[in-house]
Amino acid sequence: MILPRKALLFALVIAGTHGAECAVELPPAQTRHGYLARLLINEVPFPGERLYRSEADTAASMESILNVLNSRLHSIPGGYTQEQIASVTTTDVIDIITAGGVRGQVDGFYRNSSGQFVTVARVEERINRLVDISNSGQPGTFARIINHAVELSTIYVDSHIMPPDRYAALTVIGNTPVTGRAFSWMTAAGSYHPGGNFVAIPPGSSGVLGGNRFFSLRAKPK
Amino acid sequence: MNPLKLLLLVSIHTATTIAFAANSGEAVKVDISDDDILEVVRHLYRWHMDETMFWQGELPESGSVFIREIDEARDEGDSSRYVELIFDQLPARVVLKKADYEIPELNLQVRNDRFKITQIFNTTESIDDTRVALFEQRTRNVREVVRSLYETRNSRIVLHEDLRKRLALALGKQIKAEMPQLEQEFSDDTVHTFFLAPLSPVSNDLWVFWENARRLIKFSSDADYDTEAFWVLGPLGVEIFDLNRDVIVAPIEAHGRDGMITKDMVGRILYNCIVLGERVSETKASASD
Repeated sequence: MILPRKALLFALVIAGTHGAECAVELPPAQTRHGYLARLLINEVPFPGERLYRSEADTAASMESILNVLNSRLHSIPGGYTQEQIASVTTTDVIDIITAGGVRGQVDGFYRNSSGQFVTVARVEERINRLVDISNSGQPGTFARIINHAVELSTIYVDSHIMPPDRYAALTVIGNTPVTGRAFSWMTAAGSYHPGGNFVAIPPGSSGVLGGNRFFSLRAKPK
Repeated sequence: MNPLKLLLLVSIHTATTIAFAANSGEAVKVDISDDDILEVVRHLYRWHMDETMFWQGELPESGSVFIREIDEARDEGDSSRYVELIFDQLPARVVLKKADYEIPELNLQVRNDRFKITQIFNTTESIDDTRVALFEQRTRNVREVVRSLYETRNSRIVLHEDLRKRLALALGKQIKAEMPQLEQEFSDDTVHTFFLAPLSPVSNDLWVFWENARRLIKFSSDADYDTEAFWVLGPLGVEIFDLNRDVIVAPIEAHGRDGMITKDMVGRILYNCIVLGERVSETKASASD
């Protein structure tokens, strides 16, 4: 199989990072990659949670979430503004994450009154618990998922290398022409939909991954 | 089986056994019982349906559910099974899971005795001739089902006292760890009032309305709520909605923001918690016992 250049680069870089079977040590939450890793961890299901399917499914969901953040930052399609899609105008991925405050674009991730990027206590509690579980006994599924989030975040922040975007080539959903790429995700537990010009990517196009449903945009905004 | 299981459930549920007529096609039969399918319909009736989803005019004579097992990718050693239900007379596609796997890190076995709802999609999906052979089809008299749902609308499964204490402990932790600003509003001897929604044999969602703080809280897990595993895993997946802050009319209002809940959904949850559910009062001290 011939991998596209970006996918090959990503595969090479991630293969060179520390072993996936290591015990978990999260980078500090105040660092950019530490904050991003926490978001990826918090937004996906782990074994025992209702929407958990498999380690691969959860990992794929993290990769698609990272692609959404990056697309909101660097791939705004014609006819749209970044403000319309991301509720902010910025060149900083942290602003993309924290847009809208505590109950904003990403629930529980916000900037405090001093401008520091922080999470609500509930998020930190969940992540601490997941790290504790990961470090119980031999490193297993929990550790591999968390380490994957750390790897994705570190590579993205340090080198801006992305996992391949599985939705980049999407042109039509049903009968609706779309822009390609995903620009939003929401939990797939209910029938949540961000509304507006977002179009749900169907399960047949891997639109539901790791408990999240991903959304592209109408090619022509309404 | 965990010895705690079933013994701790008090059922005052009076489900009517209604048999579905099966098709004679070649599709592989799925071992989900008619009773459980009826419980899925009851879950939709209680939690998802409103007058806009209900039939307009006369109820149809009969309706079918199309059932098939889905081959989801799973981890090595995971023997969980997935089933998809598509109703031809309801705008719903339901995915259920019968979990069967181990979490070695926690030394926990997550195993369901029956299929449990994991996802509900509001969708009108027709099963055309090219796909019908993939499904087992069971047909029912819709009027009979609706009458049964109506007649048993107040039937419910409630938590046994021991499980209620576990829930109180879990809620106490939520109060303490997640909402310190609220904790300061209430003294230790404040009587907190919670309303617990009725449980479903086909769902591991556990909804609570915390009246004092105007919060909706949902615990959910792959594990059954009457097992130890639920109470280890449930707090991991807890969701909390602040009724003062997080309620919207329609998702477009939130512009893609996560963590919001629609007024319609809040109405259904409150109906289930307050009208159908049970009221429990706890002080912080009693929850910590």
